[in-house]
Amino acid sequence: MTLLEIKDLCVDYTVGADSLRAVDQVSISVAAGEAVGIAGESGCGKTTLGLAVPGLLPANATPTGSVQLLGEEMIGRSEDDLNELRWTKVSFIFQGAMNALNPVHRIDRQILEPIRTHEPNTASTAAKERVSQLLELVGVSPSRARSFPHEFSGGMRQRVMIAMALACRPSLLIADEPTTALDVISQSQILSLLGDLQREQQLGLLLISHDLAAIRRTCDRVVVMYAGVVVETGPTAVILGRGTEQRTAAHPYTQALIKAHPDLAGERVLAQALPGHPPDLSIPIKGCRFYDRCSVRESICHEVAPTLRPVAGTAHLAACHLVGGDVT
Amino acid sequence: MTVESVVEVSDLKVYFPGRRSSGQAKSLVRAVDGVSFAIAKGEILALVGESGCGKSTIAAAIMRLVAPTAGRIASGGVDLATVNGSALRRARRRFQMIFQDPFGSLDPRQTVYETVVEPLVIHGVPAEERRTRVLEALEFAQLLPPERLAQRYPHELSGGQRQRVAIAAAVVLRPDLVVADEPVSMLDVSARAGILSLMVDLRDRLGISYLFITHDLSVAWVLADRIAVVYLGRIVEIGSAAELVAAPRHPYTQALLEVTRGDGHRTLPGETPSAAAIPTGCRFHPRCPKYRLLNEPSQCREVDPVLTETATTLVGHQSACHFVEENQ
Repeated sequence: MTLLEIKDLCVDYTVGADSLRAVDQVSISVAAGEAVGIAGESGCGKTTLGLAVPGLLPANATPTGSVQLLGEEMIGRSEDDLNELRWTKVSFIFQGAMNALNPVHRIDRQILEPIRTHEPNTASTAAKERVSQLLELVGVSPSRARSFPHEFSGGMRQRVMIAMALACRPSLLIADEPTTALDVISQSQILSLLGDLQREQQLGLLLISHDLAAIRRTCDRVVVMYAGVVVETGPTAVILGRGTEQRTAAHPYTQALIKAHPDLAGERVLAQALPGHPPDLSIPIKGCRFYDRCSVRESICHEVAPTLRPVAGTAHLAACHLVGGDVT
Repeated sequence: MTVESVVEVSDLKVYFPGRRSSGQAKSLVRAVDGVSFAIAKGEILALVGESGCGKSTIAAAIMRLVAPTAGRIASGGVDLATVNGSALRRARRRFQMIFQDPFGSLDPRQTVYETVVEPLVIHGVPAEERRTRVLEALEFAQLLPPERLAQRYPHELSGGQRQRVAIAAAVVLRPDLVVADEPVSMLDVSARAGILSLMVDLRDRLGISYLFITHDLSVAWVLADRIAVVYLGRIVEIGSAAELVAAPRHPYTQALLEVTRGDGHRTLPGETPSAAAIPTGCRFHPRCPKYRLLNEPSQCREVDPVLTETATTLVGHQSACHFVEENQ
């Protein structure tokens, strides 16, 4: 069953008299129990995309297109309506979320809050029982329910945030850079936890991260974004697979992104920096958005914007004139 | 050491008074608990470990931002652990530091020029030399063209550029050693690679040595000449970067590597114990997979292992584990 179906989503930001399209014609679907990763550099539109799903975009952003969650259209819905769906159908874990806990309240009270708000009829004892179960689920001893956030490490606070996000049994969890502020061991623990939850609870997971290793480890499919558009999408094992033989990333941007990560399984050389910067989106771009930074560009790339088309089979798509299709 | 070292740290200890918890005696937080290493001229030594392992406190002690409790920090014929007044100021000129957060470490009201000239003013460099030296440092940091970048304010710069300003301010006095505490962990992948190659470039051009602090073994592996793995205030393994990654001898290093590689779904359980309650014997034994595998030998609980040369490998590869010969 399709849990989330994003079709031709555009998000325009208005700043003064200027307008900028941060997300341009993006289509993504997530099935129940599936984990999808959104990869890309800062400013590629991946966070904007994530915020558009539960209707959390800032006031100066205008989404158009369609975002269907469990068959219900999210775009154009009233704030009250959206509040009903947040926590119960979709939860969001923000970047640096462990710092979003209220420092003066004990953690059990904070996990109780969404339950009290969305399920006011739940008996107090049942709600408390659920808090214990949630803490156990995320690997925090229920005996620590009465602790304050400062008594936990960053990794443990992030677990508490995940417990809170799951409090009202949502179908979809959107996690924006959930491990970026943590050290490797905590990162790996949180990613295992998300993977387990997704499999065992049939949770849909949208993992937004610039860390390809996190996506490779957790996600079934990956969507690579650049300057507001999807440049490549397909099975994680195909695009980000281990070692160069198994890995068949097709788009020059995805390849450059992979090369920018040091890889313990690869050669011991300093990763190559991507030269230049992403384009200024307030100026219209005629051809391929990656043109200025691309090492294999041709004249057609400057003139015509490439569209997503099959690389191999129907699951792996890339938006590059030099890949797949008939043109070589 | 046969090569000239810029700093020799021996048996460094940094203890902090802990908090009194109910009914217990006041505890002592042993943040750094007997650490020794030397950094040769032009060498990059990486300290790798989890949050709270004491790696940043080691850096702070070398910079004398905290006072060491015991031990020696020998450099240029003085002991930085005890020196004070003008001798400390002279020593500080040779050691500079770069921090993690390029958004927080620069004064938002100062131009790039004002930030980079400050160390020259503090250390009494004649006014007529200052401009040339600032522009030269900006050029070293590849902030080009230096004349124009000098007039910018931090908010006009990207994260990567800000970190380059911090590097320019660190190298303007031509220090012998730069202590870099997680300098790339807050940067985007593409900016990250650029900062790392800049650091190597400055080592090659100016002969600067680095103490590079990171939780990411893959970054340490490509950048550093040697890696020291820190656990709970101690170095548990030290050796050449290539060999330590290819043939790790300490169970903690092995676990860190496995997690960093992200193969499979295994992860190191639990958290680093508090430095106020360091386990007896080997401080890693409560989390050690080897300890469980060997049916919990009493030696691990009772005897604190010391760093010893691993017999089968190159000189200089040391590991603090009672069962080092079996860890292959």
